[in-house]
Amino acid sequence: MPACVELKDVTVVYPSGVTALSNIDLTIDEGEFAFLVGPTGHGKSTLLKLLYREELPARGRVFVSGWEVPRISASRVAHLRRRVGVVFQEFRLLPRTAWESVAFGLHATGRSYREVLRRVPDALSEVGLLDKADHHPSALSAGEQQSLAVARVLAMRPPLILADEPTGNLDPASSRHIMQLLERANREGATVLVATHDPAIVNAMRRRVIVLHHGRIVQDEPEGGYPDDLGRA
Amino acid sequence: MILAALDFICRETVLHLKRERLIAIATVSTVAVLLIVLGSIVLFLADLKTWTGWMTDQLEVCGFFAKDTTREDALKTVDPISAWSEVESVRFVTKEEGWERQKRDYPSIARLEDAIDNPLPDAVQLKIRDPEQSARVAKRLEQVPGIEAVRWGGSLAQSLVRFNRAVNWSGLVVSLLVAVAGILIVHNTVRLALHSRRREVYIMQLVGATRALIAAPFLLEGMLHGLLGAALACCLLVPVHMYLRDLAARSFFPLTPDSALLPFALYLLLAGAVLGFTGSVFSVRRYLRHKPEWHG
Ligand SMILES: Nc1ncnc2c1ncn2[C@@H]1O[C@H](COP(=O)(O)OP(=O)(O)O)[C@@H](O)[C@H]1O
Ligand SMILES: [Mg+2]
Repeated sequence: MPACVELKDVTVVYPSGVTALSNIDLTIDEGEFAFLVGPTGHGKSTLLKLLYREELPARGRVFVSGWEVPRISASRVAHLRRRVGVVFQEFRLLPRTAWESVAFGLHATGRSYREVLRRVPDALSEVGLLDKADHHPSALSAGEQQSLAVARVLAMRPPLILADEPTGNLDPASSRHIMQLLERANREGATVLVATHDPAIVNAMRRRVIVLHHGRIVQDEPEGGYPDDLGRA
Repeated sequence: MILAALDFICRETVLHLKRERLIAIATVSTVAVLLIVLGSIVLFLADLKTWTGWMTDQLEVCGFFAKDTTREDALKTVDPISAWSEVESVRFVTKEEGWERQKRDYPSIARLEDAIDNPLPDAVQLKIRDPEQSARVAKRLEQVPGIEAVRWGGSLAQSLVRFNRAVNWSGLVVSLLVAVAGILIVHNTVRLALHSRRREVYIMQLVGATRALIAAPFLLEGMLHGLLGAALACCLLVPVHMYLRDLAARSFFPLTPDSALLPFALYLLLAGAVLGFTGSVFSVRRYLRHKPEWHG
């Protein structure tokens, strides 16, 4: 299996002087499903941001599907991002109806109307939001907004899915459901990387677990559980 | 693919226009006010130019041939007069041409056209190198055989022309200043409008929309706002000027003719579109690079 994500000795320093990630070496193969765990503030989101070029590394190299991410020209960034679906920790929904939120990415990447008309209701009903298709984010609960962010990614069917605490605002049943949707996307071929500090979902699934502590990878197990000794900060 | 992109851009533009009414009102009225000011200055300058031209005509030294002078004899005088050192150029004005011009400059005469025959004789029109010498040239022209009467503008007309030239220049400077200020104002209005959408622009980039695709609806929107503002300005300026021209014509005071108002309106629309478009270009470029803060 070729590598989908590859980090080589990556260090990220924010302008404030905080070193969010130190000397990260990490390879995730195509088709893998992995958890990125660790207490709040220990660098999970930062690692994901490197992969869709929201942050740049101070040192080291970052590859996604063979592209060296920090070196992609500004005009090519959009093409990288079409291949990387992100469920953002802050949702980042457009101020539009649920339907339009999901449809936007499809339209923007030139999908035909027939395809959009098929995929949008599919994705919305999968996360249980079809009856709220005409709601604006402001009229949705935090959990519903999170589900909508997941639907937006699922509809695009990207080869790489990054989910940043996608169950942070959901009850256990909804959390399990969202994780099932991500697993299905994985079965259908997508590489999936989920950042979380929720032991329940990590322990239930027994997948690869990468542990971040103070910006360093301290543990990486193929079928791990949530490490007991990590405080939830 | 290109069709899909065009379709996307149009739909996005319509969505923008529907959603951002306040922004639309702000931009459209800014452009409108600005173009009303600019347009007034331009029209005022054009009127001054028309008037200056009319005054210059008055300043020229005109010699009228006696009715019994044949056109052949009259034409023979042109070359010798052209050779005079004070004379810049000589124009032979047939009585028919002179009559047409009278009717153009004084529309109220045109209305009487059928009632009166052309009372004008053939004439020569002399452009003088230095207006100071008009009086001397006038005297000299009276001596030319066949010439019956000579007319030339007094010194008052001369100084008026000089005054007009000064006004022309200062008008140009003022309109340039207004134009520059206007671009800044429109740019800032559009920027304010975009500020509320900076997150949206950023998210669009994150989900893989190209910059061009994101920018296009904003530019179209800016252009439409500019056009609309310009149309409003036209709706005010054109009828008002037509009314004023009519009023002035009644006192034999020629202003820019109505036929010039069509190109004027077209230029105003073009200016509005360019203003809205460029104002948006700079602002969108800025926000495409901008990274907004997220709470949470
Ligand atoms: N934009 C930023 N500017 C400065 N510091 C940041 C920024 N984003 C995150 N950090 C810091 O980097 C560290 C890692 O943050 P983050 O990757 O968000 O952690 P996690 O997602 O695991 O909670 C934290 O100390 C955080 O304060
Ligand atoms: Mg985080």
